Amino acid sequence: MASKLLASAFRRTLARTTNTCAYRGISTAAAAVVAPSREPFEDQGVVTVKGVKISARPLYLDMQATSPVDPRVLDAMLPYYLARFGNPHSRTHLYGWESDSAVEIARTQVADLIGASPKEIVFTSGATESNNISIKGVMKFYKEKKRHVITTQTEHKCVLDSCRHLQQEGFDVTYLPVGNDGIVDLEKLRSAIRPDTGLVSVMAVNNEIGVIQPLEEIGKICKEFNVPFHTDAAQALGKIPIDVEKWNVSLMSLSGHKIYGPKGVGALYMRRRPRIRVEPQMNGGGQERGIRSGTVPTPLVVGMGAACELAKKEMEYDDKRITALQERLLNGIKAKLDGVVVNGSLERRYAGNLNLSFAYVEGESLLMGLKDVAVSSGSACTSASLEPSYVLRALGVDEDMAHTSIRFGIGRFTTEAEIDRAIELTVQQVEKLREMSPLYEMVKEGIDIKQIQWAQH
Amino acid sequence: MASSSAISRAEILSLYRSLLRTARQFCDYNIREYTKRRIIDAFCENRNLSDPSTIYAAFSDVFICEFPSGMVNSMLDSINYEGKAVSFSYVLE
Repeated sequence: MASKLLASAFRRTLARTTNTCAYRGISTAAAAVVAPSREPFEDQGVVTVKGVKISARPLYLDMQATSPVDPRVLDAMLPYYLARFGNPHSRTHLYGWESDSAVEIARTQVADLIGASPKEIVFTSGATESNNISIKGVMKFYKEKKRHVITTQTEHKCVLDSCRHLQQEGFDVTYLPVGNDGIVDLEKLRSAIRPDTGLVSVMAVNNEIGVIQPLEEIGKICKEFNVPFHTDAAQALGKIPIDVEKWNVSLMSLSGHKIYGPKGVGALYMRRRPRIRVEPQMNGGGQERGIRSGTVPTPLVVGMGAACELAKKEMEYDDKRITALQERLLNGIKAKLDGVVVNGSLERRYAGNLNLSFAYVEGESLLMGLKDVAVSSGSACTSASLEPSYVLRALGVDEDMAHTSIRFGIGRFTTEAEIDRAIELTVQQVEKLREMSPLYEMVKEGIDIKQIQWAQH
Repeated sequence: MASSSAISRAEILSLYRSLLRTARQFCDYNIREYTKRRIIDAFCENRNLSDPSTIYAAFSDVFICEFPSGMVNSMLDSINYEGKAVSFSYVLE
């Protein structure tokens, strides 16, 4: 076939250029920011970005921000970009029909992972959009009777911002405090529910500290008071077993790029029995049952479906591995350093998220020193600002400890060698900073930092 | 499954070897290590299967094995080449 010849000719041209692959171990996007004077044959892999020289691409330990696309998922998506590129809403030709059937298959794959029926899944552009539809859509639909929303202080920014928007429109919002371990208090939730409560929103797995909330119990309370229960399961999908019947959720937000799928796609689970109604936030041609108009992006949706199917098969294997890697990381760091605090409960926690605070170390300088490891302090949404994360503040962590928190995210593709190297680099950096720190000297002499009366200059 | 289509030990070993050979060629460190590890663990986990239908199901569950090996190479090359994936999938139609 002509295309086979094309493929083999391409392979021949690639064989000539593939030997530079080892030197150019960076993506084309990163190439744009690299200084053009880099010699390809000396300094293999040295990258200078923003004035900082790093020896190679950093180790990626930030799986909560986003995750790489699994090659199997990419392979499922590619035909829908190249050959089967039809609009799934075109009902008159093969291109439309095959795209539509692919979208329906993906819907079934997503539904299987959470224990729902495919008719209850609506595809959106991400968990942020799903959260917006759930919170604003539900409250605006029931705005005559229900004026109260309950959420927690550790929710994702999009949930808190949607609630703030509702507050500006005249709704009441209760932000439940969390305990020191990050878990919401069920008695406080029970006492906060009023007759006009329209929605309870508690996220399943926190993106910053990784704690798993007691969703079954919250679901029982909501069922008792007949209040719709929304959960943001973006970080939980594919990582902990989800069952919408057991949890009694009415709405669930799902995200594609946290489970090794493509970015730009997410889903919203909306229960049909009893039916929960929302006011659509995107108006248009009535696609996705009128809840979210707009062309459904077939390749992204197929990718998300493939990622969900993979996650279902690999959940046990990944979970075992990631738990072992987390223990290795934690024990490795604790063995060499003292003054290391894990933020959030260690028992009720997703293993792939490890949020550590190092005492007597300044956070910004620690992050600047850890340039060979891609980690984050706080979530990606709040890392641009200089304030410590609101999640850690809600946990009751002291200001100085909140500033030095680092979040290590371990995923399917992380190796033992990467963990060992991360331990080495972190320990090295923390020791270097502590050596320079006068506060640490005072602590070693036995002075209690909190009792010091600082004189004003 | 008729017993004439039973899968021999040689076939399984050859699939294992060709999968590992392919996995070694990925440029990206994380994908390469994951693929190698996953292949080894999957074959180790399934090593005690005796029922021919489950053996067949496990054998066909591999996503790469449907492609003739020449295509796998061009697919890997195209993915490795800085994400400039080319229309190799036309071949699959």
